[in-house]
Amino acid sequence: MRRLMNPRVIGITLGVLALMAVSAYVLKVPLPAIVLPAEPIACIGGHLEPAEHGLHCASGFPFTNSMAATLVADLTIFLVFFFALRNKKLIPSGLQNAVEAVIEWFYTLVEDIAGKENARTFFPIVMTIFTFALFANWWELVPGMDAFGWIVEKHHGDGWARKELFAGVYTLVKEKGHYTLVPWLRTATTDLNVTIAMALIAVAYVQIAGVRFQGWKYFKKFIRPGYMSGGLMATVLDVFVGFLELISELARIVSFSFRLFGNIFAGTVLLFVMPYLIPLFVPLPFYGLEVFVGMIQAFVFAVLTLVFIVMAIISHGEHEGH
Amino acid sequence: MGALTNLGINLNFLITQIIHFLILMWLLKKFVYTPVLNLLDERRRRIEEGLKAAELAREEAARQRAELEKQLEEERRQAQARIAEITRQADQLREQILAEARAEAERIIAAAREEAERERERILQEARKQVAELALVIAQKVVGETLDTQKQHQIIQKFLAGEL
Amino acid sequence: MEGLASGLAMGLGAIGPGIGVGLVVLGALQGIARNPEVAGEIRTNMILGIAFAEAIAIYALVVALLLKFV
Repeated sequence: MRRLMNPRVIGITLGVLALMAVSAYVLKVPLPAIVLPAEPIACIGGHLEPAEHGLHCASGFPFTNSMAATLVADLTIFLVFFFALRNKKLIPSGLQNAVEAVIEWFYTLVEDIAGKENARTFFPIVMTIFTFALFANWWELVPGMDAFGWIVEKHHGDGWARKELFAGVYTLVKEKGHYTLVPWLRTATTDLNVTIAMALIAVAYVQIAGVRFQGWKYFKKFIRPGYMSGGLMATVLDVFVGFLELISELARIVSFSFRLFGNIFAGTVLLFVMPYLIPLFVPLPFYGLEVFVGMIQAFVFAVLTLVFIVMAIISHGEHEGH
Repeated sequence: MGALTNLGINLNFLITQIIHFLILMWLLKKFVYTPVLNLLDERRRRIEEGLKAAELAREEAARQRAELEKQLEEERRQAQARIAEITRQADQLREQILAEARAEAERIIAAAREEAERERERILQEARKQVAELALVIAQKVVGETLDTQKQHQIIQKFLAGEL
Repeated sequence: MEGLASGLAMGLGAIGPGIGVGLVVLGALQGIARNPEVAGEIRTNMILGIAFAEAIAIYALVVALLLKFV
């Protein structure tokens, strides 16, 4: 508490609050456009051109703002690990200590759930999911995310007016117009491609782990072993249960990807709307909430992956045995 | 396909992200997890070793102390024995010296007594002789006659021999 | 009408998971209150349980998003 009360911290806090007040009442920032798909901000081997909503690539491979945020998240991950592990010491301190504590905590968790002998095998995917999701989610909170980008003319629908700040640099203002902003950075996990990619890898890994530990016996859970042995009713039931297992595997992809996407996208929208409605003080608790949500979602994604892996590597027969 | 496009799902982007995630996982595994986990194992091993070494050292110290105490006990016992021995010897010596002294004293006393006896004998002899002579002189005077010297001596001799 | 439909889908779809999450946390907190030594383990499992209950709300979210944006 005493560290929070020192003059420098108070000075910074007052400065930030003053900046918030000025930007809220002088600039009168409008509500950012809430767009579900990630938008291209550059084209590799092509050029951008205006589209119906925002921009699109006439030719070449589109480079989207969520890809940019992905790379930014990667960069922060590398920086953190680089500075933490630059000169590893047996007696750690500072950042190395923090990074090691998190890794060790997670490793213990993996050991508890998957067992000591499998921990090393499953740790990389679980920890990578957690690390990437955590950094990507927390970039949502960095001021400037979704705030800088191309200002483009909209051909349909309402937009905002633009105002020139200085030489060729524009800002949108809270007046009717037909301009919109395509941000350069958009929180990576608010793009369904990112979360579905992670979910696909997680679910694919679960299948691979199942096959690796159980052999082809693993697929018996989709084609029930009771097949043909019981009566007609039992056979129909077995086929149905096997089908349900298949559906539940597919549902995992949906729930994985949409859980992360939904939470972070909703958080982003919340952080758009709250400052737009009441720019001062009121958004602060929501920032705190989003820090928490970002961490919890990363954790849930990682631990659920681990739990599904463990469910897959335990033989179905012995699973039902007790 | 329209629904997916509206949700922003695009096969190219999806594949890009999958490749990105796999590369990230590979890099992190190679440069972060393996070294950090090895470091953690190494540290655990070191700590265990340290604890074991400390335990060994403590046992060693306890053992040495026990040995030392045993040695000390032994020495104390030896010292006790020597003290007892020396005391015994001293007692013996004292006894001896005392006995010698006593014997010496006895001898001196005996010699002195003998001397005194002898002296008394001699003085008595002398006195007797003188008394006899004196008695003769008195008798001469009384009797009035002088005995010859030879007779006189005979009488003295008889007197001394207790015949008179 | 699409806005109304997606709002209803999300709002109604969130009722069940809301109750479910509440029950999960209720059970977990009672467990922690009775047996604080295993609080860490219970908390981890609670978060997993919440995630499973939440999955239902996610299907509602998917439906709402499909209605709104497709």
